[in-house]
Amino acid sequence: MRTLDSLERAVLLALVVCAAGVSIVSTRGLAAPASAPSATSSARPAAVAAPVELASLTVPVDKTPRPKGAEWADARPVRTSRRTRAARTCSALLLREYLKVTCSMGLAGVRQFAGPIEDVAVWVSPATTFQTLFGTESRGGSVVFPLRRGSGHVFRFFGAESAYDGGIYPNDGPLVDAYWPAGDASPTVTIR
Amino acid sequence: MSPEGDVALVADEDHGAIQLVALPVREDSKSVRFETPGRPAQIVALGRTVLATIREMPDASGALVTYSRGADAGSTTLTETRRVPLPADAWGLAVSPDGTTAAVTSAWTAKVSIVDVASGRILATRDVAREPRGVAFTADGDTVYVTHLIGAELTKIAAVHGDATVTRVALPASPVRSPSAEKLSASLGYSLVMAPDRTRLFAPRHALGALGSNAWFGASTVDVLDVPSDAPRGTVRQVNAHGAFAPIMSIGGQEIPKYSSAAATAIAEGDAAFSVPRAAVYRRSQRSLLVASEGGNTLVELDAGMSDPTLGQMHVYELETDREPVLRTAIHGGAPSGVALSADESTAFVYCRSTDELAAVPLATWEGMFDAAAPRFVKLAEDAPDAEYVAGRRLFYAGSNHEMSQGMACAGCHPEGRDDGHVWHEVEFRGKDGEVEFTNLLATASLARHLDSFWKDTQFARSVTAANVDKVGAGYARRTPMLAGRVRALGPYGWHGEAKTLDDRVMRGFELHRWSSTGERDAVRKASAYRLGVFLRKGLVPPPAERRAPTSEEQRGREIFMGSTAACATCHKPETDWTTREVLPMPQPPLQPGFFLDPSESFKVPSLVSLAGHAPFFHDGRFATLEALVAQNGDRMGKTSQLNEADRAALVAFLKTL
Repeated sequence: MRTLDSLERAVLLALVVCAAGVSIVSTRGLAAPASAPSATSSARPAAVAAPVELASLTVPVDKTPRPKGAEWADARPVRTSRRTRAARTCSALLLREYLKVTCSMGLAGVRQFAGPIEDVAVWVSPATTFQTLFGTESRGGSVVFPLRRGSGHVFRFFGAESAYDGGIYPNDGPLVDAYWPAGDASPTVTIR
Repeated sequence: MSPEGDVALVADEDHGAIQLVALPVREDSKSVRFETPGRPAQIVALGRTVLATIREMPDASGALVTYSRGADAGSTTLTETRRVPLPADAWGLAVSPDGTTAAVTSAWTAKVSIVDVASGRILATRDVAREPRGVAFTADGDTVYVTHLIGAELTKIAAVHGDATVTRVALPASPVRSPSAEKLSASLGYSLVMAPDRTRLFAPRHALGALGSNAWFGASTVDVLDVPSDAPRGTVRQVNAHGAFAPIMSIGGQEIPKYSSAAATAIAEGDAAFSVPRAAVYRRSQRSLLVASEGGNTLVELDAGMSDPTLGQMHVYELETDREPVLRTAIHGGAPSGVALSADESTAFVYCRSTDELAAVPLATWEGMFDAAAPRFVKLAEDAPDAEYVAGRRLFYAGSNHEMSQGMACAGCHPEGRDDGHVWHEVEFRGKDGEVEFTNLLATASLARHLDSFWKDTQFARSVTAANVDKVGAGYARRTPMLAGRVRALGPYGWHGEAKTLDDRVMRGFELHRWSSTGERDAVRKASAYRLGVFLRKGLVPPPAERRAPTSEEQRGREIFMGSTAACATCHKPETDWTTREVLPMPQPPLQPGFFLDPSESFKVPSLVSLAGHAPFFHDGRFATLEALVAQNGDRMGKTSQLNEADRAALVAFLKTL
């Protein structure tokens, strides 16, 4: 009987968990879409305003179209449910029922893990050098999604790290967990 | 914990006692042992009144026993004031918010009893699904929820002071880690925690088939239910979701592996937060959940605000502060199986079952990478004189021993030596020469297909193929066997009797229960298998069996069983635990959906000890009840096609007495 060595195990674990056949949209595929949320600070003059607790705001329950880039200038900076270390690299804006979470880090990717895909957009700035990829230059990425009663979303921001085998592997960054149980007055959003 | 915070009380099932430890814990603290009339399972202290569930009284019934604790501060004296007889194997215990009503789950007999605390009067007893364990009251004290060791659904009993109506509540396990939006089953639902505002229920347990780093068996999960809407809070994993990845495939002209495709389309965070969640408590000041990880020898603190709290791991408190160097068994902090909080929530008191200790664990009030102070231990009982038994006991609960398993303890699939009711998929991987290269036991068919895809489609593929996986079925059906009371014989063991001895079967299990190498320490594995065998035979307690004269129907059933026409006893011999252990050819029943046809047509005659509580039946779990098994047996096992309805009912009634 032959058994797996450690490298095979590591790869096996990575691939078994991803073998569900997910289609991944690269930033090339999203190149400057009209509806893609902006990740630039110039698009949100409200950034100087102090964030308010998300739970203190009334999130509208009516469905509206996902905001266009320029509309985010009117968004409210908000604080999510718990102050965590990971959340320090991230900020959140609320516009109507849409939340935009932006994280600045050595960012390699953003991925949605759970929840409906309708009205969701993700964006990450392209990496062109190793420096940007591995975090010596801070870059941004954003996710925009609706907060709707009875629904939830889970997203993960990824960094990247090189391994002894020369490969580059995802390195977990902030996780965004947002859900709004039908019986709750407001959604619960945690970045950690 | 006593409400005054002056004494910690431990239900020490293995020593048939309540252990009392005066607080605060000091270096020279000792426990005071108070013998109970049977094995205690859980304790609730209401002022000076202490309630305890007793699994098996001398007459084999269960009980809710009430004690009065001494009036002095720090008193460790108890006086029994009442016994309320209950169905056998009384285990879980909860008290309504106003303290007037108690709910008790009886695990093996699958019942829930409602008891008036002041009078001891039983208000209701209801049949529920198999292995009810954790129980919690709603805010009005008139509804209880119950979790089970087997299956994802909860039981809800409404109007406990009235009709006590039983319904089932769907709570799919770990939807965020489900491979393909399928609703997963669960096991190990020992505990159920109500949030302080009583709007949410937390069910720490094991999600069978969920994706994760040790996913041959699934992943840990805390599933959250909204109360009273009964809506699950978990967010369902999105298979075709959004993702954006930086185009780094050829930075600086250097070719870089396709990291994005492997960029975790399942969440790794918290997938192995704990192993065998034996107990849990809510920590109000931190809005967190503390889970005792019996297999991990840790206490895990999780963010209770997350849709699945395992996504928000705040702290891991290591309890195993010392480890035996060869077998790697815990010297301190083994098998955490009970947890309570001090009144100020600065300390958790954890009962460590396999090392017989109470650990006082200082809790952190911050999030970060700094370790909290080390726990302080109070020894509750001296180790047994049989060192092999002691080692086997610690190994049985250990989920982090790489020689034995990858992430799951023996007690994870055989809780208390019983079974998880799950039917596993045994998948054979063969090389080009047709020889079996290795075999894995996988929780679900979809997981088996994932593994098969890996070997076929990745750049790391070797010339191995899953020989028994296709679009219709995956793996041979292998229902988890029960161990307690069924492992006295020398051998053989395994569904096909493939292992000559118990040690052989345990060694085989070490290879099946993983998907990686068992390592090079073969001698250590053999030593571990032997010690585990010692504990399985001496330490596991068979489920309680009623002691009474048989009814006329049961007597009639016995005559049928023992008679020469049905000939059941030819193979299921009473004097050897109702089996000859022979391996006999059996006609293959029609294939169960989701499985692959097992080419082996011979099966070992299984023991019938403790049969009634062991559903589902058969190697593939095809029969949910004994009634269905007997009705559809025909002449496959013995000869029962000639039996009329009354005789079949009598035979079933007899089987339920074994």
